[in-house]
Amino acid sequence: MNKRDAFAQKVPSLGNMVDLPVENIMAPVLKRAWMKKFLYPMILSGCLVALWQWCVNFFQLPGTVMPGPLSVVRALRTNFGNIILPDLLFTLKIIAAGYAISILTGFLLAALCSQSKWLSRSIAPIAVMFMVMPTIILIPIFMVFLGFSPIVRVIVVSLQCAPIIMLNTLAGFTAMEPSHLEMLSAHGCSKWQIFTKYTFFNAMPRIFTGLKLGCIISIIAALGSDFAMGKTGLGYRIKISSSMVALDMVFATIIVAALLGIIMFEAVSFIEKRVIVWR
Amino acid sequence: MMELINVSKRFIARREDLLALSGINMRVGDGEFVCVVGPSGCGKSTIIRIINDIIKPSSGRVVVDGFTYEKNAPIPHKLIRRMGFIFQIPNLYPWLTVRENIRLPLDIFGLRGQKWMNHADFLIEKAGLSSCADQYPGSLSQGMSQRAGVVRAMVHKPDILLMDEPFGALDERTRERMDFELLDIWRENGMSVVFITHNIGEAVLLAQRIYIMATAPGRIIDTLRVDLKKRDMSSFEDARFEEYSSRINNAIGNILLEKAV
Repeated sequence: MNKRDAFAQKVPSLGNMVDLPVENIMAPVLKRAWMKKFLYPMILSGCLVALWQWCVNFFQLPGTVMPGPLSVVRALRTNFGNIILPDLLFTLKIIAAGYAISILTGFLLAALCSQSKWLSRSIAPIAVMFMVMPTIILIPIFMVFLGFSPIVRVIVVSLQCAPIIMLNTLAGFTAMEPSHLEMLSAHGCSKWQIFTKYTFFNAMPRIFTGLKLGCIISIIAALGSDFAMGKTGLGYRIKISSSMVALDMVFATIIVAALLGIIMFEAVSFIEKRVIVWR
Repeated sequence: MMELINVSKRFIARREDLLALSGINMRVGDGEFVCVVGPSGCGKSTIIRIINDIIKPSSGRVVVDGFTYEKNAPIPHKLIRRMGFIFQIPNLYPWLTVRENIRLPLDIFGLRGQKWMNHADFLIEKAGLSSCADQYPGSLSQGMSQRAGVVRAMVHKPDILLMDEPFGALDERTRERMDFELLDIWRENGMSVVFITHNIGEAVLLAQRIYIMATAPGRIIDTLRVDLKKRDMSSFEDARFEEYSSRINNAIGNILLEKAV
């Protein structure tokens, strides 16, 4: 009897599991959808963090060159309430305001453009221009008129985020199945009926793609504008901590910004799953 | 009574125009079952789209119970309400459940109230769709989806049914079964039916009158009155069934032969 069989006999409850491949052992755990989604990235992230800490210890890197994850966590714990949280709340307000304006203007422009090819051909290239333009180059222009007002940052977020929401929504409004449209024509539907019964629902998947991309773009734009003109906000905190060579604080703020992005993206994905139930 | 009077349709394309239909004269009596047969591309589907005013004719007019509509005069809304259209593909919306899809025409025509909801549920049950009525169409088989498409076209109690090769994508057995079910529905409700098909056997089995069409341009080359003793499985054994089928075959074959020569 080899060692493995002996072990299996001694521990009958584990005995059956010894021969099972890892996938099968994990099956009951992986049955939960959220576990399936988060378990593997969490394991990988854990491994990377461990490797990071090991490298810092092994090469004896000073905190001013590369802080270890433990000192980053310490910095986060010490400074979260009094420094990072106010910055986070400020950036969050900028993102929320910019994102809400983007949704409104994006939908409105997409709805208008879907009704007229001429309007679509005129507006779409301008939207693309704003989408690909780097945030930082816009800030000095607005600062001339509005100074250091937070409104500048909201405008920058909106200008970057609205075009991507608009273009995706427009793609959804215009990508129509001719046979589906014919079905409504056969019932003598008005333009409004076609929009409310078909176009809007048909565009849903693309609308949500735009909203998810908008989350990412709005965070990039908000942090970028913090960098360029802010005296508060997560981007400003990263810039100021970096200039003070407080790298543990820089990493702590980056982690908070990344978590904010993930939470926003997952929140929109959660709503998408509840709305697009037919997929 | 429905009549197409000298209807033509020209599709205008960038490179060259296509005369899809030329001088179509057709008549469908009240409660009559009419089939239109012909080879692919002869404009069969265009005819019922013109009847339903989805496509405007280039010339000619359609008259239904005294209402006339043509190129510059749209179909009256109350006439659309009297028509049901069944497409080649079921055309069910993926975001609506089968029940919601079937109720869609009621919503469009503003037919509200418990009476109409009950009528929709009655048809759903009759069509054997009760078990999947609250599912999304994505989970349905092709046969069940098409059945839902047929029920949707009839939920607002139309008295003119326009069917564009509705069972063309189904296998032979399922199509036969659906054909017999359609005959039952037609006998019960007595609606006028215009049924488009390229299957000659299906046309002979279903129709009281058959319009035979040819291509380039799409035109009617012959009309056939079908008088079968019975319309059930025994019809296939009827000598006249074979006679009608070969007459249609010959008519279409002769035209194709003329074209080849």
